[in-house]
This record gives sequence, structure tokens and C-alpha cells, in this order.
Amino acid sequence: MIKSAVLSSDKLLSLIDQPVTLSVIVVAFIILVPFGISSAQSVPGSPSFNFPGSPIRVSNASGNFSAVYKPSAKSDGDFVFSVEDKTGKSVVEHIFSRSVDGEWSSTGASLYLNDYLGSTQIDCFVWMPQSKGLLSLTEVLLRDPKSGPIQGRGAKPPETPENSRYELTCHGWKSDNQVLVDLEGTTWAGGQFKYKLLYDLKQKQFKWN
Amino acid sequence: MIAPNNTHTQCPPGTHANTSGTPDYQGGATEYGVNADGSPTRFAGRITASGSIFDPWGYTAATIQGPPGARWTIPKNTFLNVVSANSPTANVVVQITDTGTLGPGDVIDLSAGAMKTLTGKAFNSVPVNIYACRPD
Repeated sequence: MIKSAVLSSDKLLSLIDQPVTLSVIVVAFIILVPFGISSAQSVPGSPSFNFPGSPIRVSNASGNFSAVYKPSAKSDGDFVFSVEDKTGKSVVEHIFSRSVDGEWSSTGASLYLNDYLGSTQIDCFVWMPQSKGLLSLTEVLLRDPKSGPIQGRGAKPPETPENSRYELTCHGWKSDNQVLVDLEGTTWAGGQFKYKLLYDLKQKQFKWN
Repeated sequence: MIAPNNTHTQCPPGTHANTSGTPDYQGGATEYGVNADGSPTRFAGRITASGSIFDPWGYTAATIQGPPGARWTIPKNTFLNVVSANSPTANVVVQITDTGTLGPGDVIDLSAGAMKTLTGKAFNSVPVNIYACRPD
């Protein structure tokens, strides 16, 4: 099959010499090329990244912003994660010392970033262009009294990074404003916990998922 | 870098464990390579603070995360002889490759391989005495 699909230039020219074949090729060209161009221009949904690694730059779906990393110039062994606009200007920066992964939302309106902070803690950060900076979801969950997953009452899981191995990770987008969150770990007393949450970036509220 | 011996219970060639009888560090040892159900944790295969890839079944450990600019409370790549305080004949030699914010009283976060060698169980925690491997 593969062999039959490969035409030498001589055979191709001999096919083009035949009027019927030539017209088929021309028609196919007219139909397929615009489709090909539109496919090339369309961008895949939810581009994801894993830094440090390759590539070092991942643009969002609209192409307006890119997630970028580079070694830190100030602190040996650390890295700088940044979001850059079209001009290459950094609009937000985050230092990390181990590794991060993340994903743009499907339209590129939001981004999440999991930072593997240390052997006992992972945190997920979220960002939108209108944000002042990256928002730690652990901070939101623990410090914002109204952010808990029980709507209006702010009730929250009792575990914290101080009393447990605390892994709060984002793992996908339900919509441009809603990120899927797993919170799991083991308390220092040995109890295990696992919660599935949804965080709404606009309402600044966790919900059970 | 000096390779540890094959059994992972003795300091690497060219070094010897502190034999003064006074541990260099004492406290709790926890484990971060596998979950209670034996599945690898999210850290498996990811980059550690030393830049190496974390192998849950290797013989490495994380130490307490220091303040910015002084991240390593035990120097990275140090080999340590970790001895169970409950069972002093049980020990394992690990290399510090990572950092973490450990629990109260804990001094070291072991790979699953190291914890299994030390206690027979990968998902475990145990009080330990730690003796640094020093140059001969």
C-alpha cells in the first residue's frame, strides 16, 4: 500500500499528461487546499506543557499568550515560569525549583499550573489575563472564608499542608472558567483523604465535583 | 558521584558512616514513592530539587526544605546511613536528592525502595537515627 502511494516524478508527470487525471488533480487541489490552510490556521484545544523540558514555549489557543520557562538568573537551580504576551513581554512570573505542568483552557482564556513544590506538597495555580498574578488554589481554599465547596457556607476539607502530605492538583478544564481539582494526601496521623473539586475562577468558589 | 554498594546498607566506597554513637540527625522518616495501595505517587518520574528524576524504587531521600537561598538543610547528594530507632539492626543508605516540607518531628522523606529495605513495607513511617557517610 505504501509503495503504491509513492509516485516517482516521472510517473506523476505522465499522469498529469492525461487530461482526465489532470482535471481530477486540479479539482482536488481546489477542494483540499483551502481546507488544508484552514486546518493549519486552526489551533488545537487545551495546549498543555510540562517544564522543565521541551518545548520551552506553549501558546494558548488564541495565540495571544504563551507559557514559557527558563533557568532563573538569580537563583542557581531554580526556574522562572512566565506568561508572555504577543510582544514577548512577561505579564506574570513564578519561580519554581522542581517541576511544573499545566494546561491552557480550550479558548486560551485561562491557565492552570501545578507546581511540585516539595516531596510533601503540590499546589495548583490559576491565571486569567485580568488576574494580577497566579492564584494559589491552596491559599484560596484555606484562607478565603467563602471559598469552600459548600455553597454559601464555606465549609472546607480539614486537611492542610501543616497537618498532612497535601497534594492539590488541577487536571483539566470543565469550561474556560472552571478547572477540575483533585485534593489528596495523608495526614501526619496516617489518615488518607481524597476530594474531587471544581474551582470556578470567576465566582472564586470551590464546589464538590 | 560515588555509587553506593549493591546492598544499600553500607556507605559508598571511600566513605564510612559516623560511628561515634551520636546520630547526626534524629526524628521521623516518612515515604513519598508509593501510595498506600502501592500505586506510584505523583512525584514518580518527575524532577527532584537536585535535578535528577525521582525513581520511587531507588535509594534516595528528601530533606527538610530550607528557606529561599538555603534550600538544603542536609547538603544535596550527601549519603546517609538511616537506622531504624525501633529495630537498630535495620538500616539503609540513601542519597539526599530532594527537598520537602516534612511533618512535625520528621527529618527525612525516603523513597519507597529505601523504606521497604528499612522496614519491610514501602508505605510506612518510622523513627530513625541518621549517620552521615564521611570521607575516609
